[in-house]
Amino acid sequence: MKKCSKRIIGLSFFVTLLVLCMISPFSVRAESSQCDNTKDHLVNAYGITVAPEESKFNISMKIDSQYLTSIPGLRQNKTTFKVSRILITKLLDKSVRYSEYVENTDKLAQDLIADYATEADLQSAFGLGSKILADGGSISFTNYQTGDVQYYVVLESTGFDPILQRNCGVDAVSTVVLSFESYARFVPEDPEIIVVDPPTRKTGKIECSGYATRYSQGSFEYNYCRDWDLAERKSDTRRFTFGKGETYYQRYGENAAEAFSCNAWAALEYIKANGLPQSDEDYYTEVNRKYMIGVSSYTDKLDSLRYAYNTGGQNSSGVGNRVIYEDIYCKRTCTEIVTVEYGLPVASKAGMCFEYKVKVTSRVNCDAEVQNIPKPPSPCEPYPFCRSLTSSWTNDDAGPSVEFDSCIASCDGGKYTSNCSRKCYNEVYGVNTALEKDRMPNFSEVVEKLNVYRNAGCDFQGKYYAHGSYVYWTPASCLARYYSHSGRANACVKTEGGGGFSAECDCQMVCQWQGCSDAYYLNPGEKENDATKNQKIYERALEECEKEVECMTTTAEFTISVDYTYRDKDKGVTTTTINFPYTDNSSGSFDSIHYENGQFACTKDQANSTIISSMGCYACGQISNQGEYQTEWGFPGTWINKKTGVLSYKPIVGSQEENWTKRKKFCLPFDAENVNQKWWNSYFEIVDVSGNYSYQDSNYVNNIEGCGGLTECQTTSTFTQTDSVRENIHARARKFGYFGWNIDINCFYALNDSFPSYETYTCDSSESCDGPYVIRSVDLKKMFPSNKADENASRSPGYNWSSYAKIPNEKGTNYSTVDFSADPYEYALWLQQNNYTIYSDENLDYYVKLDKAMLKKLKSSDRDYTKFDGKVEVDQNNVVMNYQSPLFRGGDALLSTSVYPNIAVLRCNNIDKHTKASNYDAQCFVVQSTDLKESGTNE
Amino acid sequence: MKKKKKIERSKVIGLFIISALFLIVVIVYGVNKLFSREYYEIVPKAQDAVGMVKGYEVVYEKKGWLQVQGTSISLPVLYQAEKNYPVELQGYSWLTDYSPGFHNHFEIMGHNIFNLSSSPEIESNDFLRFEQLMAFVYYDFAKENKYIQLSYEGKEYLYKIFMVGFIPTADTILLPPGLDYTEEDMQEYISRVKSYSIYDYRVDVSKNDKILSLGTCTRFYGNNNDWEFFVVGRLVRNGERVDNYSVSKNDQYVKVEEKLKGSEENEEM
Repeated sequence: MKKCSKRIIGLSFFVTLLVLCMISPFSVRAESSQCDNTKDHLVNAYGITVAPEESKFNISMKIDSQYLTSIPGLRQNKTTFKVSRILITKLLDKSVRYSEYVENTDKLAQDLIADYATEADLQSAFGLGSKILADGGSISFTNYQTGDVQYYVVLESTGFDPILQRNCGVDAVSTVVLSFESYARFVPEDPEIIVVDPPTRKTGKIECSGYATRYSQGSFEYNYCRDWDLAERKSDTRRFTFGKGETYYQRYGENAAEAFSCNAWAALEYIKANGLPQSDEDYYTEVNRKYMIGVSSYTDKLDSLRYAYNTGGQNSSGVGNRVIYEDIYCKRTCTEIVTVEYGLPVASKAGMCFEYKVKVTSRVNCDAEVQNIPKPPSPCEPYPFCRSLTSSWTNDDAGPSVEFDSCIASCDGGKYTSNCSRKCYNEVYGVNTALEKDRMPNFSEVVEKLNVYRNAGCDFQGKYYAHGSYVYWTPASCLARYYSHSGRANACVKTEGGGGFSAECDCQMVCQWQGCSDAYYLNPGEKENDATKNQKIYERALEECEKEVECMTTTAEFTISVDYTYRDKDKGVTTTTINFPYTDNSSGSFDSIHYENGQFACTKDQANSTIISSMGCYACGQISNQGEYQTEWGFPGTWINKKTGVLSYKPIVGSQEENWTKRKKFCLPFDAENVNQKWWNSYFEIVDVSGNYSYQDSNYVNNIEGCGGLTECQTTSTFTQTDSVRENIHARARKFGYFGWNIDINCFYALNDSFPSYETYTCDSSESCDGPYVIRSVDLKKMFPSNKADENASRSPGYNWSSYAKIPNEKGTNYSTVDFSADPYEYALWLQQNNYTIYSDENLDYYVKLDKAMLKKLKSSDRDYTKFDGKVEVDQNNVVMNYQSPLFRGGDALLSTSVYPNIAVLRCNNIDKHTKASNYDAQCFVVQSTDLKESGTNE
Repeated sequence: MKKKKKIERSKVIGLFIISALFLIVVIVYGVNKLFSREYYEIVPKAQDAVGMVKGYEVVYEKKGWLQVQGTSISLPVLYQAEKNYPVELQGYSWLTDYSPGFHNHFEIMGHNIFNLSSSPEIESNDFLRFEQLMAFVYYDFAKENKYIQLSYEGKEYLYKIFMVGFIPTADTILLPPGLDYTEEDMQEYISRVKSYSIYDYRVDVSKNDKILSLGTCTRFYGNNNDWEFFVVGRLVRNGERVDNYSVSKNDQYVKVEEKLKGSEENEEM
C-alpha cells in the first residue's frame, strides 16, 4: 500500500509537470541588435558561394564623408579598409580572375590560378594582405570555372587622422558593399559582420545611428558614426538663433565652454620639454591651442523653381495631365572651425615689460543640398482588358459567349437550366478540356495577321492618353492598337471615339485600357523629355543653393586687460585693471573690425589699437578670403618717460613724443605687488641656466614665508600640479567670425620681487637710503642703446661709464662698445695708464691763443663770463653729451678762431682716438702740445 | 499503530489532492483546446501553386491555388499576359492582374457556364470552374461558409468574406484598377462593393486591409450580360480569431429572394 501510493504520487507529479510544459507558452527569443556599439570595425564576410559561368563577386567601398572633405584646413582622411585576409576554397582547375578597381578604373586584372598549397601562398602571390580598399575602389572576383567557389573575406579598417578625431562631430558614413551577380548566396545565411576599431585608437564610445541592412541581391551596408575621444562632450550642444534659423553648435576641445585658460602646470611642463619660444613663429604653442566647431543648417524654399511632370499622355487637343511641384528647398549647412591660440604665461619683474598676444582663426565652409526633389512618375504601358467577350480567344470574361446565350434562349427561354446548359455547351464549345503540360505557342498566325493589316496601309502609331484611371488610345491613323496573345494577333479598328476598340473578329467586345492612369507616363519619350527639362531646373537650383559663403558683417570687438595689484599709501593693497585699448574712460572700450561701405574697416591703425594683424574677411580694407577670419591682438604698448621712467598706457603723441619711448609691450609699474610667486619660482628654475635666480637664496626664503602683503602663505616655494594661479591677463573677443563667437582667454603673469636681484644696493651708514631715488630697469639685451633708432631700448642713448658698457657680442667673446664713439673702458684704461700726464700739456683739452686781436675783442665785449647760457646737447651721431658754450660756438662766439684743438674736437670732449669714427663727420682726437708748437704762430 | 494509520490516511489524502489537480489541469487544457478550434482549417496547397501548365495551345503560369469554404472550388490560379482564358478549359481560375509580391488587392475570376440560372445549384459534378460560387446566393450557405484560402508564392493566406452580391457589369469599370491600392483606392473599393452586398457581415473592413475578390458571370437576372457575381474577402488580421462570425440579410437581398422565389415556380423541365 505504501509503495503503491508513493508511486502514484510520484507519477502524478511527473504527469502534471509534463502537462504544464505542454500548455505553457515557452518561447526563447534571440535578440538581435541592429547596431552594436561594442562591435569592432572589421568587416568579415565569409562563405560567399558564387556559382559558375562568369558570375562575379565584388567588394566595393564608398565613403560618404561629406563634412569631412568640406572642412577646410583639416587633413582629409579617408576611411580605408585593407583586405587583410582572403581565402578562396573549392578552386578547381579553371580560374578565378581578380580585378582591382581604383575609382572605377580597372587597374589590375590577374588570373588566380588554382593549386595554392596554403592560404599564405595565395595571399603573398597577389599581395592581398596589403591591398587597400579606398573610397571608390573595389575588388572583384570573377568565377570562370565550372563549379562553386567560396570566398572568405576579411577587411580591416585602417587608422584615422588625429586632427580629424579631435574635430569630429559629424557623421562619416562608410559603406562597404559586398555584391554579387546572380546565383550567389551567403553560406551560412547571413555573413557575420564584425566591426573592429583601428588598433591605434582608444576605444571610445561609438555613437552609432546606423544600421545594417541586407538587400536581396546580396549586398549590405554598414553605417557608423565617428565621434571619438570627444564623445563625452556631445552633451555640450548649445542652441542659439543665428541668421535664418536655429543654429546649434558643438564645442570641442579641452574646455567646452567659451572661456579658455592657461594651464599653469602644463605651461611649465611644456617649457621644460621644449624651452621658451625663440621667435614669433614659435610664440603659440600646442598647450594653448584650442578648437571649436560650429554647425548651422537652414532651409530655404527656392521660390522660382518648380518641377513639372507631364503624365497621362496627351489627347487630341494636346492636353495631358500636368503636375507641378513647387516645394523645392535648399538646405545649407555651414561649418566653422575656430582655432584659439594664446601665449604662454609670463614671468616678469616690476618695471619689466612683456608681450602677450592671442590669435583667433576660423574657417567656414558651407554645403548645399537641394531637397525635396520629387520622385518622377513611372512609365506604364496599359494593357487591354475586355469584358463581355464573345470569342474564346480574347480576354478575361468569365461567362458564356453570345452563341451560348442564344442557344439557351432557344432551349429553355433563357432560364439556363442544367439540361439546356449542358446541351448548349456541347454545341458551342465542344468537349471539356483539362489543363495539360505546356508547349511552345505557334506564332505563325501572328505574322500572318499583322501582314494583312500592314498591307492595307495602316500602321500602329498613336499615343495613349489618360483621364484619371481611364486610359485611351489616340491613333495616328486608321488602327487603334494591336495586341497579340500567345500566337494570335489581333489588330483592332477604332470604331468610336474615346475609350474602346473593337476586335476584328468580334465586334461585340467591349474593351478598355487598364493598368495605368494619368499619374504615369504612357508613351515612350515622355519621361525622358521631362527628365531633361527637370534636370535643368535641378542644376539651376543647385547653382542657387551653392552660393559661396560670404563674410558676416557683424562687428567684431577685441580687448585685452591686465590686473595688477599695488600698495596705495592710503588705501593699502589695491587691485586695478588696465584695459586696452586704453582711453580716458577706459572701461568699455574695445577695438573693432566693422563693416561699412562695402568693406571691413578696423581700428588697427590707431595708436592705442590692440589689433596686431587681421586676415580673411577681417583684412581691413580688402577682404582676402571670404571663408576666413583671423585676428591677432595684444598690448598696444607702454610709453616710458625717458627721464623720469614714468609709465603711460595712453599713447603719447605730438610734441611730447620725443621725451617718451614706446615699448610694444605691457610694462608693469614699479610698484606692482608680487603675484603667482610659486609659478615664477618654478619658471626660473627651468629657464635660468646661469643659476643666478636661485630661490634657494636665504633672503628669498625668508621673504616668501611670512604671508606679507598679498603673497599667500606658502609652505613650499615651487609650483605643484594642484596649485592654482591668479589669472590677471584677460583677452576677449566678441562676435568673432561667422557665428559670432564670444571668446574669453584668461592667462597670467607671475611676479616675484621678493627675489633679491643679482646686484644689491646696500646703503652706507652715512647715507640716507630713503630716496628720492630714481630706479630704472634696463633691458639687459640692449642696456646701452647707441642711437635713437633703437626703439626697443629701455634707455635713451648715452654713456655709461661703468664696465657694463662693455657689451659682449652674441657669441659672448668679443667685448666691444657697440656703436659707441668711444670705448669708455679703453679710455678709462688709458687714463689710468697715463696717470697725471692727462693733466699735462701733452693732453690739452683746450688751447686758447690770446693775441692782440683776440684781447681787443674780449675787452670790447660786455659778455658776462659767468653766465652759463649755452646748451646741452646729445649728439645723436656719436652719442656724446656736451655743453656748447657761446664763447666758442655760434655767430658771436668770441674765441672760435683761437681754439685749439679744432672746434669739432670739442664735441668729442677731447676724447682720444679710442673711437670708432666710421659713422661720424668729425674725428675726435686729442691735440698734443707738440702739434701746436709745430703749427700755428708762436705768440 | 494509530500513528501509522494516521500517516497512511494523510498519504492517501495527499494523493487524492494531487490527482484532482491533475484532472483539473487536463480538463482546462482540453476545454481550452476545444474553444480555440478554428472555424476554418487551412489546407496547405502552396506546393501545388507553382509551375507552368498548358491548355488549348496556351501556356499559363500557375500563380496560386484557391479554395473556397463549403465548395468544391479548389483550383489553380493562373495568369497569362495575353489573358487568354477559354471557357472550354476546365479546372482553373485566373488573376486579372499580376506582378510578383503580395498585393493588397487581388481579383480572381473563374468561368461559370453550368450554373448561370436564377436558381443556382449548390453542387454538381459539372461544376469544374466557378459555378459553385453561386451557392453563396443562398443565405443558409452563406451563414456556414465564411472563408477563402489563397495559396500564393509559398504561403497560405486566409480571407474573411465580407461581401457577396451582384455588380452591374458596367459598374465594374468603376472599381479602382491595379494591385496595390492606396488607402483612398481601398476605401473607395470597399464602399463600392459593400453597396452591392446582399448580406451584412459582422466583419470590420478598413482601408488598411488586404482584399481578395472572386468574380464570375451570371445570368441570374436574365439572358444578358449585365451582371456579374462577386464574393469578396479581406485578409485575416494578425492575432484575429478564425471564427464563425455572424451574417445577416440586408435590403439588397429582397430582390434576390424574389428572384429565387420566382424561379422556383418555374420548375426545370
